Amino acid sequence: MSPLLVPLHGLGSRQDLPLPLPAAVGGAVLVLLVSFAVLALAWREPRWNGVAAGRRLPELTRFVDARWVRASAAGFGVFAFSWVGAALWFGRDRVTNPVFGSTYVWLWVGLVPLSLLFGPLFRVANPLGWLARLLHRLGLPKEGLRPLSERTWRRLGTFPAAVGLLGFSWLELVQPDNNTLAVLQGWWLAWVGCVVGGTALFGSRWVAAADPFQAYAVLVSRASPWQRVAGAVHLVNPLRHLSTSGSPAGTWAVVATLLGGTAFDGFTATSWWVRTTQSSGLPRELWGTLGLTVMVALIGVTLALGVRGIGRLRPDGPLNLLAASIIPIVIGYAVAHYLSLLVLEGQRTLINLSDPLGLGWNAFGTAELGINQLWLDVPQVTSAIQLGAIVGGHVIGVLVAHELALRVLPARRRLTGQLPLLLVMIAYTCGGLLLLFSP
Amino acid sequence: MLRSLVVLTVALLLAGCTSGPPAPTGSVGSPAASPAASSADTPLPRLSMTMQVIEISLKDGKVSPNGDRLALAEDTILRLKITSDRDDEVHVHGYDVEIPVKAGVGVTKDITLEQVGRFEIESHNPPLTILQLVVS
Repeated sequence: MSPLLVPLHGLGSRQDLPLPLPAAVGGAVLVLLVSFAVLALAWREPRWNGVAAGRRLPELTRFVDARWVRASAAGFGVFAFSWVGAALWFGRDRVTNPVFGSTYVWLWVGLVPLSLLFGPLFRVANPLGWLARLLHRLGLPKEGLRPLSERTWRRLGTFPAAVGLLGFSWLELVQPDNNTLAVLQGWWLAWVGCVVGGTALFGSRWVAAADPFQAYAVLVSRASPWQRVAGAVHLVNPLRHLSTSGSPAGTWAVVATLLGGTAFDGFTATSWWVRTTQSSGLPRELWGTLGLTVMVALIGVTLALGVRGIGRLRPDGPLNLLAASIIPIVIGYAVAHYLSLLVLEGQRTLINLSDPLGLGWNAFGTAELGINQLWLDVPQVTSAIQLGAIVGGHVIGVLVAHELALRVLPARRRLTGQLPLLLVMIAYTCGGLLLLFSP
Repeated sequence: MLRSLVVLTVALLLAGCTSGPPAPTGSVGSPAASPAASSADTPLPRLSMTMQVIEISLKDGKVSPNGDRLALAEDTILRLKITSDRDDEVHVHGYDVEIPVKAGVGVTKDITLEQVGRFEIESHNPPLTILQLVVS
């Protein structure tokens, strides 16, 4: 067979074993117990009431604000963007091209642990942010050619990023041949075009509103222990961070897209889905598009119904505020579904990154490394991590929802008002366990 | 090293067992049956390795089995007997085994399941999931 015909498989070739039934059931029972225990026993008055605070860290603040630190982060971002970009545009159309792993594994999955550990570092390093700055340096007005009003920006929030995230989920889960260069080049152009083009039109605020990866990273960083309060970095309780950091308009859409995308990914692995879609006469892209849309819509609608118990669904209502409580569940899903992928394919990508153009380079000395299985040969460890991530995310989410609901609800409905959202969260989590058990 | 030698020996013995035409297929069920088909009745060498025979048919752009799940213990030998009405390849993910298939010519391939996890067995023309192999 000629090398050209060798199919481009390789990413995510080994998936985790299904979660054992006792673990799934035990997890679900634990989730129910904890949820109602929180409702019954947790604090009765809002604990933080939207006021961010923690331990002030002036030295760390000076460090992260230092010019050379910012420049290093930016330099790293621009370098990685260019290096992987070279692989995308000038590399070979083979599975060993590091652009695939860099996109689907390091960028998409890696930004979750990155943002949890280091806060919104991605925003500082985001190469598109620097590209936008370069445009302004070259004479483009900072507010863009068609400045938007403050009111429009507020209403826009992160809605454009939610659209971008839906697009990426479609690329990852539905797009045929998404591990070929031509397809990825098209999406790369769309991504850079939308973000940079929008920046030219509407100014530099567009990056935060529209770049899907930055929006995802910033969302996850709200669960990190680092928060800026009055300009200074503080070490904070992540629960407090989640419930006091701002939720721009569209946060609910971002959360629903992320959760729906991951859930759909798990759903496509069920034999029911495979059987049904393969037996039908309809093309699999149509099934995939429908499935992804329905899953995202399902999450969006149920979230809205849950929040409806707490307050009206107006633009100034509590939907975006309460969406913050779903962030830990999003993170739990991501860890449970993709951590093994990050460990295995992340290493493979690191090896391939030494040779972006397929010329036999060993630029970083990683080309000869092997892949370390770490704990992945012990399925019990993987199961424990998955269970811990899903249940842990749920517990944190429920506590945050409780705090936020107390802040909004009138005294007489403090418990009953929370119930719908609590039930919705239980459904998300038990659904997540079911998908990992994957019937 | 020792382990791979043992496996090799077993594979060779097995190859010896089934080379004579027509191969005693024993209770290998009908191709349409579920993948929980059957372990071969062929007497195996006295080593604690079991074999699972799966018949795969690729026909009119459809596959059988059709994405079913097949749970097997580690170190089982999986024997795939593939027939197809067109040139294709069958790819066992994770094990990175590519089995070229010629139209109308049956092909048999043994894989020793030494890796734990969930793996897809796919055809490429068209791309369809034949089996989800769960090795634990």
